[in-house]
Amino acid sequence: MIDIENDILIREIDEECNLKSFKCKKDIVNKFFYKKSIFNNKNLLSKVYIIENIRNKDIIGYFTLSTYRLNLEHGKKYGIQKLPAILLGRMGIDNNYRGLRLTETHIIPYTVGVCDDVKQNVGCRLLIAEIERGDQLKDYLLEIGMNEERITKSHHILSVDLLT
Amino acid sequence: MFDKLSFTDNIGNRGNIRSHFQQTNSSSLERDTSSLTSSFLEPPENLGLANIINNSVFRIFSNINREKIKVLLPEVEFSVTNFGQKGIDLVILSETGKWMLLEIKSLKKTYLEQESLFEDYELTFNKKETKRLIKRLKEGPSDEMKRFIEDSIKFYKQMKKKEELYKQGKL
Repeated sequence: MIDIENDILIREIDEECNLKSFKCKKDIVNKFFYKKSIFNNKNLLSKVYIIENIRNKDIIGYFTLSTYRLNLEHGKKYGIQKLPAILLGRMGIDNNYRGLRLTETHIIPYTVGVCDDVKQNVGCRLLIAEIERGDQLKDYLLEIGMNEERITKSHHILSVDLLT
Repeated sequence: MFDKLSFTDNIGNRGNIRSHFQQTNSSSLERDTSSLTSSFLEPPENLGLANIINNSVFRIFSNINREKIKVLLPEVEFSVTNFGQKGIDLVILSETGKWMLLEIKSLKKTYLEQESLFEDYELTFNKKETKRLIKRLKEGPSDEMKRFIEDSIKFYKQMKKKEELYKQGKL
């Protein structure tokens, strides 16, 4: 396993990033990153964070965060019909850095940290994560206490209650 | 075409397109309104997801929202109108109709294959899911999850400090 812990930095994407240094196994995740990530970030459609190797400027991975809302049918009797949340949407790890469990050790904790920042100032009760079916990450997230809200034909939708 | 179809100012407004046009005083708009409304009533070609009204106006079905279109087709000008008619969410305007058609077909394919990647910004829970979630919300997160959140906050703060040092050139 490559020891890169000290070289890893997570930060918001910017126009100086070497986008083409990143390539993961999913074309659609690559395509978004190359063509839309800076646009989305700049226009606040979603915030795009990169995991960067500060030694060689490689982009190790990226993930996106955006606002989200759960509409709760029949929630009126519970007094909650809409629930504000944050969505951890797209995620990708570069092919050269796969197997390092960076999603578990870096992306998820960083995202929860961002959520803590947000919830201090804006109503936000849940973190929602979409995990592709078949991805072992789902098992890890359930182990640490995330809840599975729904299984779609392509994804598991998991949540974290941010109330502490 | 964009000037004439200036209802683009009303992106996101709910209401009937005919009533919307009737409220507009512009004579050029009124002139276009009749042809548009009749076209909307009788779309010439059904493509499944998108109906071509003419070379520059598309009617989009299903619940694709304008954020998705913006992300996928950022260079295309378009307007969004909720007509109050079931299944009609968007009108896209483009002067390059054929190109748009291709893009929309592509969009449909991509959307169907990778729906979750488009970040819908919302999700509706059914009665059972709602009941389950509300129960958990009342209980709050488990002790294990609280510890994970605390550890995550520490990690995040450390990373932010590292970012500051990096920006200052100290790494």
